[in-house]
Amino acid sequence: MDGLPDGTVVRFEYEWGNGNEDDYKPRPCAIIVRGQGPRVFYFPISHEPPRGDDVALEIPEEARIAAGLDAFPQWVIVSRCNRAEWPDGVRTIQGRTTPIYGTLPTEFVKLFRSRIADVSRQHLMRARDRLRS
Amino acid sequence: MRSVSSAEAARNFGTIREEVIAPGAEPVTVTHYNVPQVVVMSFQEYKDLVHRSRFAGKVADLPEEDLAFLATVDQRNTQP
Repeated sequence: MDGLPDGTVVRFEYEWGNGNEDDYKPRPCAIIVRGQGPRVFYFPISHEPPRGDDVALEIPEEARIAAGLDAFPQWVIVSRCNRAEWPDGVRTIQGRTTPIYGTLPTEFVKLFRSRIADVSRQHLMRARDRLRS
Repeated sequence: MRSVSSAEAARNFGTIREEVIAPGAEPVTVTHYNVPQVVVMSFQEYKDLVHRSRFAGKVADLPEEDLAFLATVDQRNTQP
């Protein structure tokens, strides 16, 4: 783990839930690291634009290159995540010896963090309202 | 937990598979030169195991403690 920054893109056996056929199939995910544990939040990266009420950020070309992703349009979903203790679920990239694709650029990580914070604040307020009523 | 050698596992995989998917069954350890190396378990057992320490789903369904952390993640100033 040793100081991996937020916005690092790693190969992780992501679970979508609800018996999705792609569950546990390793895919690139952008991480947010929480000190203790260390506990890591994995946000899935997909070639598909967001569906339904999912919130996602399109990753610009230069950010895709910095993060070691392919040249096709990709989105990082910020309304879904997996949480695990590092390195549980982290998988080596095929043909390489590391699970790390690369790191998203600073400007994009700022945007990534701020969208996650927006979504989380919204749900946190809802959860607290439910407790009060 | 029952353990079998890797030679036995290769010979009897069908039986071991039947054994581990039975309701309430335990996983089977496969040893190589007497060292435990591999565990055979049902997919359901694996999912349950993973879920004991992981969360998977919508951010909306995260425990409040995690939401509170993520809600302030935009105030972090560490450089990526």
